[in-house]
Amino acid sequence: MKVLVPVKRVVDYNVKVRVKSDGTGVELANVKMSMNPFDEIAVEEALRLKEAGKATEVVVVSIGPAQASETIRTGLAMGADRGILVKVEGNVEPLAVAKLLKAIADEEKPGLIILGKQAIDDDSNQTGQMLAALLGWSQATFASKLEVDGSDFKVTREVDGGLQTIKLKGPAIVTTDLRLNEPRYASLPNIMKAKKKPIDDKNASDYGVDLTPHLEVLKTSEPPGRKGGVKVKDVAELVSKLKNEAGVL
Amino acid sequence: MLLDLNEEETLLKESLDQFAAGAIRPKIKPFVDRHEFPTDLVKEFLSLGFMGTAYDPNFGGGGLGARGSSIVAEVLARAEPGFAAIYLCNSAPMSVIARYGSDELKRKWLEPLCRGDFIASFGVTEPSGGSDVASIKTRAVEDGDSFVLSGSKVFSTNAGTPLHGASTFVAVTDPELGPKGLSTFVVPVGTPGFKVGKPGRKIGWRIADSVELFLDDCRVPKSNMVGNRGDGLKQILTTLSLGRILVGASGLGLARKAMDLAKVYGAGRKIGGTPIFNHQGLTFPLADGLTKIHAAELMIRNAACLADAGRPFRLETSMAKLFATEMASEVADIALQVHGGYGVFEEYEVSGLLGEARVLRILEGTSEIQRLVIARELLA
Repeated sequence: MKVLVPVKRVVDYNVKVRVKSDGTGVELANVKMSMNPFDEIAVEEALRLKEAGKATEVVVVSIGPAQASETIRTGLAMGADRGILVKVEGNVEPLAVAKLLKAIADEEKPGLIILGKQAIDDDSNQTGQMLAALLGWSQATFASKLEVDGSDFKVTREVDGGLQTIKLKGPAIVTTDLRLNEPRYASLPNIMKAKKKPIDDKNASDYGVDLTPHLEVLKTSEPPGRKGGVKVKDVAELVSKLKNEAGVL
Repeated sequence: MLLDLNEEETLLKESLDQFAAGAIRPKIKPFVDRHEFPTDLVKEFLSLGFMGTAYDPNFGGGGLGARGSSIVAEVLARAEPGFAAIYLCNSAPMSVIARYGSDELKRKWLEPLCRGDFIASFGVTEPSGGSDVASIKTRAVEDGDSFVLSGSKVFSTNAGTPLHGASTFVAVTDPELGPKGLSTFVVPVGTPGFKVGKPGRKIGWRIADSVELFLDDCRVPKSNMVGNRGDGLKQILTTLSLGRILVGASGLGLARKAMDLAKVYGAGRKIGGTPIFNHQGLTFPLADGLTKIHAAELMIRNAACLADAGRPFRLETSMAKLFATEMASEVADIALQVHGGYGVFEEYEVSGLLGEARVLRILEGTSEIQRLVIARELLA
């Protein structure tokens, strides 16, 4: 079974994000970029399947600017076998990403696609679900455990009330939650091997997918600063404030 | 640009940064507090193969040279300076074997060291010798197809740890030849007569143990000699010179750590209702510190590039080591000053950096030795 893992190049999670002075988005110039952390978890899970003999090949794919090849190399340095880079300039919406991934899945015919549940830049949490719908495959989002059963899967999901375990018919889509695994550190031997692994260079036009955005960002702004708290003298005052001032009761 | 990283260096730094953030930083404090070698953490680091960063891929290395290994030392030092110490003290024996050892010796010792099966130490300095490596008294006497070593060494880092597998020793093989009568030997742990002393408690390199080593008629096969008989002094001088790049890089990482701590603490601290960073009295020294950090980074990178290109590097490594380690002490001091009174309390990480920085101005040649090397080049 081949496993396809889409990975996104995002602002590193340690970076303190700043809004651009003209409010059109966040500052990306000279900002450290990394693989989306949920996607790292997805790569790790695919590698564990391969090491357990359940998967035969792990392919990482990234849709983004030319520098997204660095994100693919990170995946290859973790141990993935090869990469596909679909070069796209500017913002690509989840639906366009899902359409591109569908086209790639049609070509590659993976038995499983593992995606991060969301990217930490726009937090859309849509691509996996849209891709499942486009492909007509079964899906399990927010996975905290993944077991392979022949060509089918048993997935434990993190849902509001606790954990839900579902069975999926393969081929399937799984999106990762934080507790699925702890991604490995790329080892020196794997870093040395990564350079020799192939990355297939593609353009969106190769797949005939229309990337025209359907959304327009009107304004990006900093979250409001935190206001100081107040002390209340008793429960009655607390309840009264929650009712009358905060309006949450 | 000089500081641009190539693809492998980028991946190396990225993975090391993740290891520093995910493994070292969350777990290291209790070891620093107890001055204890973090065995499991070092084992995890060894399993990633980074000890081999600099060396020949034919012997299990990464082939990334001094440029690659200076990145390792810097990232580790920024997480915890003593962790960089464990790395660079293992690099010295690896470098001497990699540069001068036979293929057989490399197969036997360099390969497992690159793989991280165990760590090694270097026995150069003697109780009476200090920086004067030419006054070494440890003897190696030829006897049949072996050499028998006797003597003692001090400040041997890594040697007292459970992960220690071998040490390289410099000993006198031909006393009548003076400085040309020194040779280097690999002595495996477990060789009868090879004993390790107790580690002392230090103000710097707190998690790395530095011990005294005793050789009491230690017999090793002739094939354990590194390179040629009589080349010992030349080998140590080159190995020390290469090591200076890594000590400089540790100073660079340490200074960055001090700067990180100063920024975080200072940002939340007010005096007379005004954030302390509104006062130039504290921000100007930090600005000077950052400028020197940049200068040190350029000097280290340049020295590493020279060494990797096979060009003369002794002058540049001495200057980089001198500048970067003196700078590290200075920046650690500024960072402590930003913390005010809290800066001298051990619960504040910054307090320990002064001692950590102090070590770097002494080993692999003190600052005074570096000045001697530099002055000699000037007057040559």
